[in-house]
Amino acid sequence: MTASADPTELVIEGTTAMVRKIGPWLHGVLGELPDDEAGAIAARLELAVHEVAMNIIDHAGLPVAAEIRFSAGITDSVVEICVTDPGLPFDPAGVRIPVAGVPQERGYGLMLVRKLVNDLDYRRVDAGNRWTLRVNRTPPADSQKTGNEHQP
Amino acid sequence: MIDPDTVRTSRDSGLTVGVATPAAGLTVVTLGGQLDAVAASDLRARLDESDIAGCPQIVFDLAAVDFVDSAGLAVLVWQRRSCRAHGGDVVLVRPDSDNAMRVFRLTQFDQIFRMLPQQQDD
Repeated sequence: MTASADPTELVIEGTTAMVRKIGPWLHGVLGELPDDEAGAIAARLELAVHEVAMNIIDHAGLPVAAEIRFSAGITDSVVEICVTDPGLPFDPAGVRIPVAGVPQERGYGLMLVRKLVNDLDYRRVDAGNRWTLRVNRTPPADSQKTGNEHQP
Repeated sequence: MIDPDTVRTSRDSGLTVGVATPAAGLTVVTLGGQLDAVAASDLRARLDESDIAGCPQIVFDLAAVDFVDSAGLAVLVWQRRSCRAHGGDVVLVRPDSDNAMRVFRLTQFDQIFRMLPQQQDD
C-alpha cells in the first residue's frame, strides 16, 4: 500500500490481495459518524467499494504496478467514495446481467454495487476511469423489503 | 465434528478451512474468516483435493464467516454445479454475520441454496 498523509484517501496496488485494505480504511473514514449510522453505511460501502475494486483488477487491464486510488467525502446528507484507476475504459455492454433464479458464477459484482448504493456513476476521465459511489446518510427503515439496501 | 488436525489456515488469505467426512458421500467444510476474492482461489484448490473432489453432498458451514463477496459466492456456485453433476447438492449453514448474509440476500442466493440455521450448542 502506498502511504497517504490524508486519512480520507487510500492508495493501493491494483492486486487482489490489496483489497483487504479497503474495509479498515472505510471504517476509519466513517468513524466521525454516529456509531449506528457508521456501522450501517460502512457495511454497505465496504462490499460495494470492494466489488468495484475487484471489477477494476479483473477487467481494466491495469498496467504493472498500477495503483487504485480511493477518496471519501462526507456531507450532512451523503457519503461519497471516488475510485480512480489508470486502466482500460469500462464497457457496460460487456457486463452479463444475472437472471434471477438462474445461478451463474460471474456477473454479480456490479449488480451488488447497484443494490448497495443510492447512486453509482462511471466516467472516463483523462487516461483513466472514475467511479463514484454515493450512499445517503439516512437509510430508509424498510430498505430490505425492496431486496436492495436502498430505496429504488 | 471437525477434527482440529484437519483445519488449515491459508497464509495468504487467512481463511480457515476444516473438513470432516461424517458419512460416505457427505463432506462438511467449515469455513472461518473472509470468503472473498483473496480467499477464493485457495478454497477452490482445497475443494479440488482428493478427499473432497467428487463428493456428491457437501455442507459448507459458514457460521464463522464474517464477509462474503461475489468471488466467494462464485466458489459456492461452482461447487454446487459439481455436486449436482454427481447427483448431490450443496447445503449451507447460515452465516452468523449480517455482513456475510448480505451478498446471499441481495443476489437471492438465499433462495437458491438450501440454507440451514446454525447448530445450537446445547
